[in-house]
Amino acid sequence: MPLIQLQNVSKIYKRRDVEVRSLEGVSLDVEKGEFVVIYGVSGSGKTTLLNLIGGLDKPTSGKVIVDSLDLTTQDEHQLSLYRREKVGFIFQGFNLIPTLTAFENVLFPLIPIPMPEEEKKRKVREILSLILPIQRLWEQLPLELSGGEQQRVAIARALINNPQILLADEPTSDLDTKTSQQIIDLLWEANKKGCTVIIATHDPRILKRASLGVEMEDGKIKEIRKGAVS
Amino acid sequence: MFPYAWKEITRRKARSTLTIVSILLSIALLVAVLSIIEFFREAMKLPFTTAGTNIAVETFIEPGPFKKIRQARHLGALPDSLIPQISQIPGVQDVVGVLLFWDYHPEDEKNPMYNCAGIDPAKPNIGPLSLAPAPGQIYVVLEGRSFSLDDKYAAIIDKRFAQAKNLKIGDRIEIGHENFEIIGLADMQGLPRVAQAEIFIPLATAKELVHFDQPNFPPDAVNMLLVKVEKPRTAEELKPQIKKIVTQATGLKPEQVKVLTAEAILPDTTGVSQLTQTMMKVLSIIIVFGVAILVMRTAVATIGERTREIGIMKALGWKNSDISKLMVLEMAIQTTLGGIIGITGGYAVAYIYASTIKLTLPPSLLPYSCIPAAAPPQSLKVSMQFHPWIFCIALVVSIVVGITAGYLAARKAASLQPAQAIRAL
Repeated sequence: MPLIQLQNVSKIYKRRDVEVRSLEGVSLDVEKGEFVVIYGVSGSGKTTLLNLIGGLDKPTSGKVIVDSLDLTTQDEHQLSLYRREKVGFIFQGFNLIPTLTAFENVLFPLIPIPMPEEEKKRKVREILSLILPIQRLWEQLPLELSGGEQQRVAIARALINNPQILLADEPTSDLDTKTSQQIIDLLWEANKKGCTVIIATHDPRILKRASLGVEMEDGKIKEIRKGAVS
Repeated sequence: MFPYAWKEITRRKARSTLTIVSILLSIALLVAVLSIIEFFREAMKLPFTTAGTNIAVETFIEPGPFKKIRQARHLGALPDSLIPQISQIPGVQDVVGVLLFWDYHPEDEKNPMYNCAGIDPAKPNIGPLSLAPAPGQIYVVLEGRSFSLDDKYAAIIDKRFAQAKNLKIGDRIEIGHENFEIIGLADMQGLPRVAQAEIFIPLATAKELVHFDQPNFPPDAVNMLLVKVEKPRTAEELKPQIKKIVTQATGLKPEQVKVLTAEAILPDTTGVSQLTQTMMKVLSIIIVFGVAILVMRTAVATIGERTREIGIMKALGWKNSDISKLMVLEMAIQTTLGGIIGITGGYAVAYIYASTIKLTLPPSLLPYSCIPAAAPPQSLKVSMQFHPWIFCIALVVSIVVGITAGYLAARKAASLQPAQAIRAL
């Protein structure tokens, strides 16, 4: 059974009394451990699709089933637990908390979790050692870090809970070529360790790594390709 | 969660400062008003406490003819029969009579009028010479001995009077037409008290002396009753019953009968009427209420600015209850901080105000002659003691405002849809 199943999913937003069809009749199966790349022009519904898989939003119609859990029937509390335990998010534009240091940003998802403080810090140190090895950067505020360093912190934050699914929205959009490559490598490594990675992007370098490519157009899936997209 | 909450508070300096300062000022006002009123109340209680009583009863009549002995000022007779009557009122613990009179000594050119009081030796704990009206508190230090029930022509005199007149224990002093042996010297510790006098003699002897010179004054009467109640806070409630009994027994008009308590003398002494006190309290509560609304509005408005952050929290698995905890914690920290500083500030304001104000006991409670040898202590000691209940009320109000504001903010945060919140970037 696929890890993620989208069954005839539609999402309609209302903006100033005007209905916007963000997704229309989308069906998709994603197996565990896949490296999925969703691509398409802006406004094609990539982010909405990630939000639905991440339980940040609910479809207007259709079903989103993740690991046998029907997200469309879950209440906000259950969805919070789902996001906490199974999903890691990497947002467009990093979205780090500007007043917290890199270390504190990575610690942030663990704050409400009942766990000894020392254990939380140990986990943060462990993941930061792998993703942002230069320790002096850990105590820097996001604004004092480069774009690549900020994205590394965002990735560490997304991975701190050992999620089954890593969702990344345009993870390389604000980065130079070299840094983008490093970020792609990090996501690739996470995938190799068993994490199902779903990335919404325009970056052709990521497309080359895809085990499943999903092309979106006007809220619909235009094409699904197995293997790298050229 | 606390370190993060603290960072958020320090990050939003302007809003946090506004919240803290608003709470600080309103709580300071509340604490200052409540403390000043309490300081005054405590000060008013002192003349009663030092005499081991809660209520003083006296009547006002035309003064008697000028003789060697006459009753002090305009104090009228209160028959002894009132004592058992008042004692029977539920809540009254004890009643004692005092007979205050002036003794004329023309040979003493400097202070010809001696202020005397007949006190009941059977009730040593109520009256101007009560040695231990309250446990652990000493208001009179007595050299020599106190009255025994057999004493008739024995006197205890104010130590300052003794110094002024060069008298000591064992000396004799003429009061009325009798000679009294000085058996004790009372050091009043400079504290004001009701029924204060320079010379104290047994009540029965005093009645004989006064009746001898003032035949119109009944032999079985006193001119001040001191009432001790079981629960001091009920003193005000008992006043009407006492006044009714006294009015009926004496046949005087109600306005000639005075039933005095600490509460009753407060307006005359401080100029702060009961109405003003209530208005001050109500005003400070309204201000605290207004500030509470301001803080709540500020807290809810902050959520609008933190939409993105809340979206991130939700995306990272924070439950609505976790976000609520954070919001409540942030607001509670700010209001508690403001509250504690406000309490300190309010108490400091009250302390400074109280230390500059001078309160004196109303003359009706000090029926002294014009030129006493030992002027009675009139200045009321404004006790600036810390009242834990004011601290508790102020702190609880601060915390409740914070929790409510945090809760309202959290409710708004909970209503945000995570995807929309993040889209609001």
